[in-house]
Amino acid sequence: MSDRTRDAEFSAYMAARQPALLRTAYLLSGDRATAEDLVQTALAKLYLSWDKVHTRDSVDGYVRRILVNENNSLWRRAWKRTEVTTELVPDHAVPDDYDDGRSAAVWELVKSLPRKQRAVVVLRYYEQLSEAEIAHTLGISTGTVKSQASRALAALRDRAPATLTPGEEER
Amino acid sequence: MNGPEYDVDRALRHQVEHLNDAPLTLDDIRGRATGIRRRRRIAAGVSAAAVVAIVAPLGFVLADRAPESLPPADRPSPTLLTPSPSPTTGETPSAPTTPVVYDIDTTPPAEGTTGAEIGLPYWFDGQVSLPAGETLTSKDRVYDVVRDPDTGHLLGFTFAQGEYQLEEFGPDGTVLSSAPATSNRIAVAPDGATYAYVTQVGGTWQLVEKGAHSGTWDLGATTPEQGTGATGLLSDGSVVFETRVGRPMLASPDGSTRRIPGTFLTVVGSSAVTDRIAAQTSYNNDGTSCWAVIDTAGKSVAETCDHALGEFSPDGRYVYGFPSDSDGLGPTSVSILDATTLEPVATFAMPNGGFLATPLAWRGDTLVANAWHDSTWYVEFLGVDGVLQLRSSFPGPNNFDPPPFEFGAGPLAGPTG
Repeated sequence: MSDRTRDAEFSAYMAARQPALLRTAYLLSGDRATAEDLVQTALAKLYLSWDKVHTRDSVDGYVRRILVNENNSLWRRAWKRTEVTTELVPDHAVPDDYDDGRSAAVWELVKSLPRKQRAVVVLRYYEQLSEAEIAHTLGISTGTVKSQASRALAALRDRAPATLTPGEEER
Repeated sequence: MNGPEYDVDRALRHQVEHLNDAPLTLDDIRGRATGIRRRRRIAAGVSAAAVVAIVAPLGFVLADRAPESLPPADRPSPTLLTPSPSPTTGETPSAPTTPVVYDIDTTPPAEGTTGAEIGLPYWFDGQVSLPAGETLTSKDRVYDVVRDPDTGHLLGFTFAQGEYQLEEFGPDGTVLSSAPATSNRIAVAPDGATYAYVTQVGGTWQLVEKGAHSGTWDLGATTPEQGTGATGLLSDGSVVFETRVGRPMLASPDGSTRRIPGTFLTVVGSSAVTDRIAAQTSYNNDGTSCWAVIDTAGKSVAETCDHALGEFSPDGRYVYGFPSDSDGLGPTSVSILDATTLEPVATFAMPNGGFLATPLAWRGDTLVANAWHDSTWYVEFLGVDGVLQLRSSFPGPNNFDPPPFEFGAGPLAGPTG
């Protein structure tokens, strides 16, 4: 593949997928600047590997894995100043007019989850990946995916039973 | 999805529904990629230091350029050309018994001198030049060029506005017809008498073979994946091709097609002399990859995780390879490998900061390469016997730009087909 062809193909992929990658990165990291940084690194690594990551079906998975790993790496390097997970329910949810602040409250709870649990939640409920796909992306077993997802939901229920208990509100 | 899951799903989507922009450009990505590569190389250098300390007494053999008689230039160059020996073609020299590493010389050539003939069809500065002296004007970059044996017209692949096209050129360079293609990949026999490609004919995608062997294989109406196409020919006229990456296929003269057994990420070439195929077998998380030369049954003949393979030499004895962790910014060295063992016969390394543009082209058992270093593009001939020849150089301040030359597979069949 020539350089020009590679760049054209890569540009086409980037144009098609960048907004979606940015959204996933935002959900993983919790802020816009970090999300852009994650996407830039993930796409740069993809660019360097473009000739070898031939099966286009697997490109999204490859990029997701980089996003998650980079996010964990960033967090490990700078956890003290960027974020601290907590077992406490936030004092209040960020209000919005979408659903009387309910989604914002849930989002705050998701942000408080440990990194791996949060990654599982994002990949499961936002990316709609199967347990096997999540396991492949995160490099863990499907059993671990199940247990992490279960713990994450349990933690969310414990922290906000009023909003996350089935049947409490009519939908 | 039950209550809590529904809440989480809705909350996540609500948080990012406003994020629909694409703030990063290709230059942003390439800039970050350059930094990543630099850090990787520094890390690799630290690791290699201990190894070098052990093997240093063996040293590297550095080749000198040996000016000899000067063949005429096939076309004036806009800048500089240098005296150089004729590239090695035809007869195969004896391969060195010990693999050696040659530094690629990028000393600016003397002004006003002329260089060796390229000896392949090539596109340069809006013009296709053929070995016999024919030329063709094309503003768009033309990749491989072949001659239709039925009409005598030239066919060439172009890439513009994100689309591949197979174009048929009239004698005056007029585009007579144009058809969609999935890549610029074309398979050409060593003598140029047979070639194969994938294109769309009347709404149906077809694998087309023309020349000494001929045939068409219907591939259906579904557009094959971009980047796939014909990758090689075999001695009986069979064609190695991919319409979906990772699924190498064989089209046989009897009209049938079959999948080559085995798990391969892609195939990059085949030899019509030895009936061997170069294929990627794995991609590793550390950025390296493993490759193999296989037979038509998918059985491995030789394997390597040191080199990412390219195409076979016309006689099938050699295959070129880059370091297996070469990245999208361009490999910094290339090796000519023994195709039966995948052991390096000669390795050519760019100066620090330089890289080679891919793919390279074979002329006999000499590689023809676009090489970039220090804001300059060079055309280099890299011989299996270690002979290095610098043909010409061109200003190239931005290494993101494509190289000045596009070399086609050759040789080209004559005007009579």
